[in-house]
Amino acid sequence: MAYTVPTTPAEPAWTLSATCRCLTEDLGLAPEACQRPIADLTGAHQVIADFVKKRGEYPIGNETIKALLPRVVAYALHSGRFRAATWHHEAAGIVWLLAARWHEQGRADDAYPYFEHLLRTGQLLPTRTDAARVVDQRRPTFAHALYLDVPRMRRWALDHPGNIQEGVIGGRVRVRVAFENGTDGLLYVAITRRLLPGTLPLPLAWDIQVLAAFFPGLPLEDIDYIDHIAGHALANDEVGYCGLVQRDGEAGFPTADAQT
Amino acid sequence: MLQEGYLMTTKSKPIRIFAQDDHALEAVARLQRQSRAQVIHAALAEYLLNHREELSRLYAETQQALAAGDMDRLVRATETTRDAEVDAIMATIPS
Repeated sequence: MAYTVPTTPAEPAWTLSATCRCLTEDLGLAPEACQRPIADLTGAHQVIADFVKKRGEYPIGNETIKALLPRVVAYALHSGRFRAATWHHEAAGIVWLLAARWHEQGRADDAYPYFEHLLRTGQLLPTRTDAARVVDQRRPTFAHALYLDVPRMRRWALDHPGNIQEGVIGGRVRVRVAFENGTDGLLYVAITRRLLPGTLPLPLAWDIQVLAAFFPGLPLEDIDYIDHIAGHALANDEVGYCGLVQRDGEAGFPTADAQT
Repeated sequence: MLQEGYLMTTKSKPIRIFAQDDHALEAVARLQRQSRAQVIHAALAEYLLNHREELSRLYAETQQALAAGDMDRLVRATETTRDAEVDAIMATIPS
């Protein structure tokens, strides 16, 4: 039987962000604004306020921007006389505010020809710096969840031998954990190989950090790969690990000396 | 153990993979005249071999940061995973 416990804090199902080019060139914000979460900028421009409100409720709109198809399936966001282009980057779990401009049909500097021009000249889509900013904003959430959620999940598993507990650490990594209370006492951790939100594959380094949190005091060399979790089959996109843990579960965190 | 030799010699069941990797895996397995499980094990083993020190350091650093309850240190420890995540995101942006 599997149990699901709420985990907190967590990333939302999708993250809202804007390209720095859009914030500075289209909306006239200072470059420093790029470093702040988009939700903190709603007072800076009505387009941002509408983006946060509307795309926060649902990641796509009703009207695709035909000039950008088929390369980018972007949606028009209406904000007074402004039109903005938003893109649901599903693989990464991000909704981007790509561009915004005053809309007056027939004018050369109308929003839609401008969006097309940006795409054609390679200025529309997020840059590596934009992507890195989202990653950096997500990192503290995962770190806090490792500290807060994993010990709780681990404790629960140790107190309920034979039961599988499910959780999503920080909204990023889906895990199942179980403890088999045999003579050896094995703690199983099954990690789904997808980085949430989105569909990107989970880098192995993330497994390592999750394992470090689930196995305090246990050297990495003492953790095994395993193809089941407490005798139950793994899901198709899971990798299983296990390690010996005492029933009291609190072997203690290693000291710095013990690790070196 | 998380060691390449162990992986290669003692596990008999296949390690699960993404469904979308299935065709590529099948092609590689045929090309190398190996089973799909052997291909996966070999890939993991190679990765672990090439990144052993880095992964061990990350593991120890994470354990120590958690033990100390040092969030800043823990966030810094995730620096290793940062570039890989950015790379993965960029790979999915239309060119």
